[in-house]
Amino acid sequence: MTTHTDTPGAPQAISVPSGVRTLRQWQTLTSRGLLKVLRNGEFMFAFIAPAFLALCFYLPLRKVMDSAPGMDYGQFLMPIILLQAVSFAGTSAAMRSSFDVSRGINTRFRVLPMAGWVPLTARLATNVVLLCVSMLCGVVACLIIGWRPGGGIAGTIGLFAITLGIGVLLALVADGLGLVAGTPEATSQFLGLPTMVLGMVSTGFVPEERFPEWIRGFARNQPISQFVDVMRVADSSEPMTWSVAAPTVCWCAGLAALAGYLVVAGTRKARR
Amino acid sequence: MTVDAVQTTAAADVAKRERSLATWFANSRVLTGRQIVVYIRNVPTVLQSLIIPAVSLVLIKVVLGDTVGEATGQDSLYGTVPLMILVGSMGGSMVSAIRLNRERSTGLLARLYVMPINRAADLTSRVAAEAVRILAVTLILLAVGYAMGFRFSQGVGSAIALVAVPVVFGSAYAVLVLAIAVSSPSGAPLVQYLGLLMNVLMFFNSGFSPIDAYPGWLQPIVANQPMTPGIDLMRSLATGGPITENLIKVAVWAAIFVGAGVYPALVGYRKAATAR
Repeated sequence: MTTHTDTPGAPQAISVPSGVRTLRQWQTLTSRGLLKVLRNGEFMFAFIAPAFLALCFYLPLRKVMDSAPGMDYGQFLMPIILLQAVSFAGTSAAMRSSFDVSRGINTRFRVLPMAGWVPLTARLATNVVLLCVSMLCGVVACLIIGWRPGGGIAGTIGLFAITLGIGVLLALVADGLGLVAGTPEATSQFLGLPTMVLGMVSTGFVPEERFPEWIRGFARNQPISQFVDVMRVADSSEPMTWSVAAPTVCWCAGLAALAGYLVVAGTRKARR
Repeated sequence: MTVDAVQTTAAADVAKRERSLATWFANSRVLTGRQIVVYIRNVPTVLQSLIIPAVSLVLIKVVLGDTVGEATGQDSLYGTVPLMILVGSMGGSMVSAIRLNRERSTGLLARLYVMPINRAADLTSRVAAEAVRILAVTLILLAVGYAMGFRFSQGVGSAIALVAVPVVFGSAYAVLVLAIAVSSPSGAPLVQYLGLLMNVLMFFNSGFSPIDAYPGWLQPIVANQPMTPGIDLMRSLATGGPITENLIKVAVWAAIFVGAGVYPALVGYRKAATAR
């Protein structure tokens, strides 16, 4: 005989198996995140951000760039536009998680009978949905400026899989950064300048040999350029070799470690 | 009865003095000082409005300098430095627009309005403070440009004229931005949209890429948008070249900004200060 029935309110919570309850909590929080994304108009910006980049570089620079032999600037820009779409999803992930901290939602979640990883995975699910939407928008923007898939079916699937993988890692890092930074203002300052510098000084906009001598080493080896290289190989008929993929794999492992560290640090900060 | 009469004349006196040019000047000076102090004390904003243009200048030169330089046969700095000066001078006015909106909601505008202050002084002080900020950002960007190889070959007079271009143009633009800020409800994203428009203008002008590199249908727009004449004028003032036509175009754009801005700004300002 159970004694639980004596206390009002408690039986209902106990009668539901905990797995189902957790799933429902996760569902509720995910739809909360998605509604927020919808209301902020972020789905619209998911298209504006990559399209803006595509037009603002493609239209002014196409003629200047195409004067170099063997260059098709629409094709060339494709990876950096996809990465921009992905990083937009990351930025908005960081903003959302920092709002959750600064408005005290996370603290309120902590006093509810809910596993600590439920909000985290709910945010992740929201981010993945936004990520897929912005990737799709990025692909449309690329198709408009003249990109055509060049790697066949396997290559194209590989291209999108790589982009999605990078995007998920970036979203996790951004989510953790938002938790640690705590305020939206600080978060946007953390993100703003580094993304601008890394994005511009990469081989995504300009081939390596058009950079001044002294900065080529940095431009070649920094993560964005390596991602771009791998994506270009996947998008062409060249076979993917380990020597091309290795730096990207290493950078991704580094991103995963950073994401893990930030999320743990952020969660610990919330517990204090 | 006599007391009443004295009071009325005194009030009339104050009202007359309030509208005089001397009062306008004195009030504007005090309020300009205030605007500058408020701006300087917000350190992150200062850094952002001075450092972001400087970093962008270096980045554009490093990333696109060789490509664009090859295409035009001229060091791309003579386009990039003027471009970033204009972007810096125009972009910073967003800050003062946002401040204006905030000062309205905190009631500062209403408090100034009930004092014997010239009605236009607050507005002119904001524009004057903008001019000071633009001068600062121009000098910083010119210093960065000089370090990378930007030179004046036309003498001191042209150098001073070059600095005057963004100050005049940017101040005129600030009038328009302030007019929009004061006539739109606080929190409206109008200013952000203006920022987006400016970001587009930043890519479609003669300083970013040579005009004939743009698609044909876009070239007339690129050639005549507000920033391009300013960039070409500043380029000519640094390296020599035709001046008159671009000078006229810059003056026309500045006149359009001021003409479109002044009246809505004054009306909007009164509404903002008196509405409850």
